[in-house]
Amino acid sequence: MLQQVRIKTVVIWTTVALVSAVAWSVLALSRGEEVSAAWMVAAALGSYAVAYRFYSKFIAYRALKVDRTRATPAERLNDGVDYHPTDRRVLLGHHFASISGAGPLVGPVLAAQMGYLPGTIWIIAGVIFAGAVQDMVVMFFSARRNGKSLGSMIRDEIGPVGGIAALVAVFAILIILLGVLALVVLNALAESPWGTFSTAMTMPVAVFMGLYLRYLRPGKVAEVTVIGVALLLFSIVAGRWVAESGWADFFTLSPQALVGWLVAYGFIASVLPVWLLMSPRDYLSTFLKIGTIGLLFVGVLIANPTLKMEAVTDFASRGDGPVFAGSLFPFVFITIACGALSGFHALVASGTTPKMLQKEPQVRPIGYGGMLMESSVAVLAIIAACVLDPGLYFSMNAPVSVIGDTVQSASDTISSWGYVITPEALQAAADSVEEGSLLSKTGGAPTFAMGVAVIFADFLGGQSAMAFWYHFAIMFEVLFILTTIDSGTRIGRFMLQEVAGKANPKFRDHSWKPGVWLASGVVAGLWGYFLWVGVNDPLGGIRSLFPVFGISNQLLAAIALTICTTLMIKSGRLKYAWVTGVPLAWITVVTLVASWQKVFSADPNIGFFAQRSLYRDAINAGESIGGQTEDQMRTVVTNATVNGLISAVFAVLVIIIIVDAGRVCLKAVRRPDEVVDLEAPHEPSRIIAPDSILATREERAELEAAGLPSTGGVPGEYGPTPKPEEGEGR
Amino acid sequence: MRRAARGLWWYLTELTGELTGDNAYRRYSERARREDPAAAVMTRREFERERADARAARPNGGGRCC
Repeated sequence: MLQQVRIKTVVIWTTVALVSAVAWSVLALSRGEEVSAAWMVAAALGSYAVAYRFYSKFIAYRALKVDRTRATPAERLNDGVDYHPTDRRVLLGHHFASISGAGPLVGPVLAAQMGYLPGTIWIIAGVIFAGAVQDMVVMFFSARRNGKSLGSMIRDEIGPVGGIAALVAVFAILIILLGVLALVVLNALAESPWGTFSTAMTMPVAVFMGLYLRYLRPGKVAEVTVIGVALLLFSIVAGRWVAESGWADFFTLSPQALVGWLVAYGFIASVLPVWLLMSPRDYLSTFLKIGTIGLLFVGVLIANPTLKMEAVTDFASRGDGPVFAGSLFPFVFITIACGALSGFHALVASGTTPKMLQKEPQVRPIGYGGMLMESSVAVLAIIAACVLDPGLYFSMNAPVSVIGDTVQSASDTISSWGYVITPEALQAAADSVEEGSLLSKTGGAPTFAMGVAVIFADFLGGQSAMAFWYHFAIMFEVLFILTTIDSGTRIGRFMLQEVAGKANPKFRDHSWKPGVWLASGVVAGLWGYFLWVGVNDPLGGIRSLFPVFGISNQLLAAIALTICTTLMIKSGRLKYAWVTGVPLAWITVVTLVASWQKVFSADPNIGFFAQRSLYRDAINAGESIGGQTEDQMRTVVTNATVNGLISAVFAVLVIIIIVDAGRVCLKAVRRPDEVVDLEAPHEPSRIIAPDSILATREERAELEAAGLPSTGGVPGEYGPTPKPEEGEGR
Repeated sequence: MRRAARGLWWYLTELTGELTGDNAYRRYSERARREDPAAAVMTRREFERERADARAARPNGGGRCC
């Protein structure tokens, strides 16, 4: 019997591995012919399955030695509010909802300028060996420390120097992140009355949901979400009527006007009560995301679009791409941050989720598995970008300074790169989604929306539905980013209030309005500054700022992997420290090389300071570069200086943290007996629950013998709500 | 089929409950009544206010990734 099961397993996994290997070969070896996107899905899903089954199991059971008999913080400290054992499937959904945002939809689209292959390889290899590992290991160590946050783990395990450097880095990263994401929203909505109206409508809808839940029918969340989604779909339809009516002018906003609206929005949203706007919109966007991603997977399989982008474009090696400058190494690896490896997940994986874990081995499905789901979203985003005609892709993602502002000039420039597209085709694409123009709609969101519209329209509604699906996807992405903007502004506000509280304790009081308003204003003003800079950047805001954003995000990942590696060494897992040490080394090299090039490269397209002196000299000589006015050139000089300084400061911060951690690790290796163990002591676990999402045969037998539903629990005791067909209800 | 539908509904209500703090209130009130049937249990509104204050005191409450 056992032998039979073994043979069946071997056959299944060999097949999965083979299918995935064939898919990879098709993707990698095709030159000149069009490849079906289904191969990309097959390569991704096959690789995820193999990695989950083998590598994550190795990490969990060999390297981390997850302990089924050890009670989790949720079991030991159960207070029913923060700490409570949660069904593993529900917790996976909860964790996924907390880690996923707009990041994996943006980076892959930009990276598509180098072809579909480099981005796809990094998304999949990166998540398997770095991103998912980071999430799981951080979650594990946090769970062993009663759900401590990343910041306090750094302070306690590495020391005050690393702790302060990490605090500064997190705050700076947050500001850049918010500025760049706001810029993505702005590029998607500028001069688009349909998109602006639909987005504006999400706010009354969310407020209505908030009031409904608070006063009309508290607790009926599933119900109000259904109503909210229906209202949202209606507002997309209504957007077309508005765009065709006399109201169109009111909702046609210039980029500069939108900056004001967005900053005001970020400020107001971060001081409003959470229940009124933030929470209802948060689950609205969560369910929209899960629904849309599911539909997109189905869409790719049914419509089976072909990838029109080349596997690897010339921009990969030449490094002179119009979307962002720099060659494949290191810039693909910082452009695609979320989806492959994201430091921000470490903030969620520590602190929140570990307090809800039912059993320790569940860090594997939730930490590793949750990140694989996030990565599949990034794969869909790169598919959406690559099913578009490459000429159209470049026309949407290259800045005005490169392709000019008419379809004729765009067509001429892009065709000269070898991606022939006629001016009529460019106009027809804009007409198909009822937008005035799609030229230089940079930032990834419009391109993603266009790809989604092409895929969805193929099997849902045909050509006439293109415009609806385009605006649906725009609103979906904007919704996410706005959620990130208000929760990000709020987090930044808390951090500032904490620090200001050291000087004046009054700032720590979150009900002291002047403090709240001042801190919110400072945070919104800071990211608003980067947004303003991005909007007015003559060379294209996304092109200049996105690399800084990527570097900062990957830097946070380096910090998270540093603490993981330090803890591996300090906890006597030196033999397995490579599990997080190798990705740490990789991402450190990538980020530092990228920062180095951004600061010191002599190529003014890449190096900020080279760009600065080029423009400075031209101004002094009274010359113009690319027909720009002197004011525009002065703007370039200022922006280049700020961006260059930021890149340098980030690099210095990460070096400080790594060196400080290295000192701690060295000490731990030399004198292992002096290591102070901050791990919570072992207490026996009484909960019986499966290790992974699906219970094995033995686990099912164990549950049945204890009379427990598939959720698990303590025999004869109160536990999470069981699935209805199994328990007796409560 | 019905089993699957009921399973899906269970999943949706549990997940939304977790996301909104709805489950937290249910857990709190049931636990409070179980431990001491005579105890004064906070109403949903009082509970939410308490939780909002607690969350406001911690920086990473409801953090969301990029």
